[in-house]
Amino acid sequence: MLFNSLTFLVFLPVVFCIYWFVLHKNLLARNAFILIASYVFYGWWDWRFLGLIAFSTLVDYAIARSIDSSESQNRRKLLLLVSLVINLGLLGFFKYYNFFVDSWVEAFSSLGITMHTSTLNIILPVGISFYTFQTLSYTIDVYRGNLKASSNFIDFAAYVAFFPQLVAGPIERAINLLPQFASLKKFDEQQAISGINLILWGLFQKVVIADSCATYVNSIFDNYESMNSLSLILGAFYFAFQIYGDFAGYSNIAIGTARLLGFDLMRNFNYPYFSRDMAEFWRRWHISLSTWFRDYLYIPLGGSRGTKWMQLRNVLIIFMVSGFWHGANWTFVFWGLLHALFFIPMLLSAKNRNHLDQVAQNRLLPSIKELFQMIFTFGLATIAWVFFRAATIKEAFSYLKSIFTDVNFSVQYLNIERYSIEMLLIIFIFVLYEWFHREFEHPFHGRFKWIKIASVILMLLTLGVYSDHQDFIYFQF
Amino acid sequence: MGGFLKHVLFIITLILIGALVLHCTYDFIFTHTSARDKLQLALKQKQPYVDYVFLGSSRVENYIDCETIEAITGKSCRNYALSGGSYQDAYVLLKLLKKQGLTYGHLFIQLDTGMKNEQMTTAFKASLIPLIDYYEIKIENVDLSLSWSERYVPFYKYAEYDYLYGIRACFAQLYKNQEDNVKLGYHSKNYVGNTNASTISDLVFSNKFIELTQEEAKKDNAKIHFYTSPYCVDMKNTELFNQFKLYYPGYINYANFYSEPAYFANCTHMNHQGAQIFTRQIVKDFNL
Repeated sequence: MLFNSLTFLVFLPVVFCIYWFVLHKNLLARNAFILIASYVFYGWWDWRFLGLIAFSTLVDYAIARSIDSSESQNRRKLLLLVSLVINLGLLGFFKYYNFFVDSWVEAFSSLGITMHTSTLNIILPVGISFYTFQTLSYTIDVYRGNLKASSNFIDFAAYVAFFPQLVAGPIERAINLLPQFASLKKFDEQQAISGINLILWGLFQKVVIADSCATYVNSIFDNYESMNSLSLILGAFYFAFQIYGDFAGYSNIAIGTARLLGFDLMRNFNYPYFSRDMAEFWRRWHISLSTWFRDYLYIPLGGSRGTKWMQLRNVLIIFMVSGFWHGANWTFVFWGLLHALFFIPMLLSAKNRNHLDQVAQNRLLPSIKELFQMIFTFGLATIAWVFFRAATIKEAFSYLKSIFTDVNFSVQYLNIERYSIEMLLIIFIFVLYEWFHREFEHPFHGRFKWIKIASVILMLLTLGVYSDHQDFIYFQF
Repeated sequence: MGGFLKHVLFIITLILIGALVLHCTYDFIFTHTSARDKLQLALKQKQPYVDYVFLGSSRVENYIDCETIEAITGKSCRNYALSGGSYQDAYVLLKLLKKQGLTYGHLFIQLDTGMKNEQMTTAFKASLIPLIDYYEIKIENVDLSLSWSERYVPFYKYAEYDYLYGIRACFAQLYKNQEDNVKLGYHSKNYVGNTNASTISDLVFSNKFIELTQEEAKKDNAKIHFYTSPYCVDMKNTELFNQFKLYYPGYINYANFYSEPAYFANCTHMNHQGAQIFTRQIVKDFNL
């Protein structure tokens, strides 16, 4: 079920009413209802993969219980290893099997050896990367002693399958979300209002910004060989906003939906395009994944301790694994590598924690220096996005090369019967909205709150893409 | 809970008011401005007698230059082909034109792989939707009923087809009035493009709406002509079109008539240069 579908528009109020008005006295019934609703939400897409979530839930529930009750460190370690093998094994099979087979065959054929093998027709279960990481973090936290294993299977199953964040995050930690299933919630009006506002803002980001940009991006990237420099720059620029609007929009709807049911999820985006350097960008982009890798990979590898070489190795590993997490394609690995290369100079010069505050804090406008820093950081991120969007690394290089070799900056009429520059005004308005509300989660604050809400609704109606609505990009990861 | 419900209610009210205002505004714009496309032209203007009427898809719209035909023959000509249009679209358009008084001497139908499609295209339906109720459009054999949501949910019909009939179309309707451009109906492609070829397959030889169009022409005592527009020389299996001769008397197959890539914008569409040559060929072969 998609957040931007009519089905969800019916589903959410029904769930909300049953949750708050029918099951308001019984915690177990509420959690069981969330579990059922979550399975319906997921099963709407493809019920066959419900078994996979149920299996993952059962395995991690049982293993975590065993870890918790075990006195032997070796046994605990072995149980953790079993959990890792099962979870990563499932992820590896469904997401990476064909990729590894293809890469293997290609590697051998480049050596002149022909391999006869076949790939499988594997459908990638939506959200597998997200819920696998979520269950993994639970088992690891129990192993580390940071968390008691859950003794309530319904609570745990509801935590794993919690529908607002099941298919595309935020990747919630058990330590934050699981305890929220243990208490009977009272309706919090302010929390619910902020939830509705976040949903509205998330819809705007998805339906107006991301989906409108998608039309231009697809036209430009699919025909990049016939595009001039300006169109190619705009294509990359639009994709930067498409992926941001798409994913931040999804996260905001997810967080808002959870709030309607009385749950607090972690923030996933904090205005990443207002970052002054790449380190700051990664503290603001897909925060739940960045912190996951930090806590469960980077720090266990040694983090920023040890020699410079060790630090470099750790940064390279974390960024490339992060890239690979996004998809079974070398383009994602290269995207991760590029970000590592952007990040390493800051690490070496110990400047990676220079910008921990909000840009232009307590000021209306940024300084010239800050403005240039933001543009430079956005430019680097956009170059990397070309590799993220392109079908192959070669295509991405060819795309970037054409920008510099074509040197034609005239406005092109695209095959979608629109001029290449038409999206700029909408993006400009969006950036202004974000800039003036960067201290908040969404723009609906202050004296003119209702005017802002009304204008966003008007833009949703007039500029939203409904006839050709797109899946959320992060569903494929 | 009270404050929350008020908040939600207020947002819903804003959405409804916004939808209603936009619905009325869009309706007004589409019905009260002058014609911007061929369908609107068929609905908003009285139609004259025309000697030569061409119907079809972009493989007619981009191929037949009525100005050239009028200059050569001294007779009137209209290219009512719709880019991306189906045979049902063409039939509906002909019926609407007739309702506005169109009479004609010759009707030209282009036959190709589109024969297998008997549906109305989304683009044509989208362009009809704002106008169906206002102009009380009803056509035999064609389902033009609006769904419940299209009729009663404010703005739904525009959101449903936002890509085609959204805010851009509204502004275009207001500020880019193309009445003059659509009068004779020829739209040229002014470039030489990539002629990546494919293969003709799954050809069918009958289409319900071609039959209905034939009946219309018969009723109107007009002469009907059939042909297939040229493809680039690399298109394979074009000889299959010759079988149309068995079903459509007087049919001419131009599919593989031109070998010069410079005449094509892509393999299925001629450019302006090609269209000029092809239009003259039509005048000659059909003795216009």
